[in-house]
Amino acid sequence: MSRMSQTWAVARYELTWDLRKRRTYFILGALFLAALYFGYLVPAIGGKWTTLPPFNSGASFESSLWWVNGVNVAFNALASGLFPLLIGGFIAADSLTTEFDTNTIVPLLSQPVTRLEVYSGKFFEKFLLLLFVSALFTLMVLVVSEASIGAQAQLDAFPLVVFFEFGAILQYASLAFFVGSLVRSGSMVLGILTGLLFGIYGTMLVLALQFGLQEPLSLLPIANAAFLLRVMPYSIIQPSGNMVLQGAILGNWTPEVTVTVTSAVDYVVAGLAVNLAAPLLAGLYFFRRAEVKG
Amino acid sequence: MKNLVKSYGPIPGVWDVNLAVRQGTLHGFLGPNGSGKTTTNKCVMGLLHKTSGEIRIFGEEPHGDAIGLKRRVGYLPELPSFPNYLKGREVLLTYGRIRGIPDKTKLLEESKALLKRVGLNDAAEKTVGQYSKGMQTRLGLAVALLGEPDLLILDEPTEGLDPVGVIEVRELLKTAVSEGRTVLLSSHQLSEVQQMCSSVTVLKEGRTVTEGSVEELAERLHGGIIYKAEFDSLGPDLMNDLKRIDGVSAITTMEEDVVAILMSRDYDVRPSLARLAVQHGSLLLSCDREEASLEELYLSLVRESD
Repeated sequence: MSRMSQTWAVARYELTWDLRKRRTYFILGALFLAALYFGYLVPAIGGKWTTLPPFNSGASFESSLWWVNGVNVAFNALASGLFPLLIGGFIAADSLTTEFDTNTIVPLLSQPVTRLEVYSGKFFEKFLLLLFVSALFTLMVLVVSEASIGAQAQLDAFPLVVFFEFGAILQYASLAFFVGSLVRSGSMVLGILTGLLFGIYGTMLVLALQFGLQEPLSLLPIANAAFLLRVMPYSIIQPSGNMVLQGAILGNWTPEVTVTVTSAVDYVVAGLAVNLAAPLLAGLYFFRRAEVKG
Repeated sequence: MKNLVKSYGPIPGVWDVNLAVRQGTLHGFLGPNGSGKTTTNKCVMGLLHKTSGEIRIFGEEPHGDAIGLKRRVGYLPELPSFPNYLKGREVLLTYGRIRGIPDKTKLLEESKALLKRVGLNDAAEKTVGQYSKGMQTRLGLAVALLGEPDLLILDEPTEGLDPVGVIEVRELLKTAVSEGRTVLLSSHQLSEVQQMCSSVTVLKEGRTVTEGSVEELAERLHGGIIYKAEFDSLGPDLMNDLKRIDGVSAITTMEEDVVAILMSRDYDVRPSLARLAVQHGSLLLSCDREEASLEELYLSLVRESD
């Protein structure tokens, strides 16, 4: 039997667990409400409580593309900076830690399976689950937008929108695996991830007090930690570029660098490579060294 | 296993464990709580990284990724823990898949047979969360037996079981040995080890104190003779004098005026007992000479080491 089968067996074990957790259904329920909010309520109330008012900013807005903007708003607005954390971080936070917390790691690691297979099997399952969740959320926003605003266009961009969303979520999952391998406590992982997010918000508050409101507002899209992480490798690829950093601020879609699908994909791919691989490999290092003392 | 050392920073977990288990035997691993049995087992299973020393199973070093070797080893941890959302049947199927049992039909049959073998047939459809401690131990035993391993490392396998369960598990282990498997049995129930094991290793404070066959051990440990003596009356002065008899290793009060005297060598103590009884105004009513149980020898050993 190939070693892939062992990895897949671990992924199945993980999936069975996720499908029986209340938390998974709570998050799916929250996603449904979010889809209603971003797909229907945000355009209906004129974009209040978001950083991207679609109808009253003077920015060119195409209602037929609201399904894309709805997803963007969900991921870029201040209040919804929690969004990828909620989905990616919270779903992945207890994947390794619960095994240590409840000592189920002992029978698992006592099987003829390497720690790499356990780790990669678990992450592979998160990959599939979060891909499904990303597609589901995008689909829900699309359906709600279609029902509330009218016919939506450019549906062929669906995979790309899902890909961007999925990348942001998956980075939180990857981060959760790293922190989980390091501290091996579910509550500590959630605390650290939440602390990271609010640390960024705190920094923005300090910036606002020091330089005025506009400065931190210009950082809003990257305040979402997933964006922040993805932008760093982009700055290496195109040092002079400012890309989408300004894109979602208060409806001013005025990027300094023309964003093409190709360049966007470039930076996301580079970002994913760095921001997924680095925490994942660091997590694997700590997981392989972890001792089961309990 | 030679000179195994496992320390947690400056704190020693075990610091000189030597253990040799002959293939096809049931070997007891004895020691008081905290003596390092579980730490040793975890080092063997690659769950803890040894600090120094040598471990070999079937000639191979059992690090965490030694897949071929781990396929030949079944491990029952102390107080095994399984995901509480899985049903008993699902636990075996899940771990069987992870274990690499490729044939689905074979896995289904093996799981069913193992659940029956450990007495969980009727609880196969209950979730682990509904299992008692004893049921979880039985389930752990079934998981350890998955894939028909050559070596079973069992950490307190009768812990939490009712008397019937204890007997069933003992029978199961005897069957495993009769099938040619090797069993390393950690247990604090010395009588169990004496009853079931052909050889034993005694651990104390992270060190191997002694090892050998149960018979050899009895021989090595002071002759292994015990006298059970009943006196007309047994006051503290007489008790103190009994302890001073040459060759007495330990004295345990069994009931009022009855003591068990463990001898450190095969020396007939009866004349001395009768003489001392008379000196203290008492009488020696009866005195039986017996082979000491492993428990008595073990207690003597631990006290002696102190």
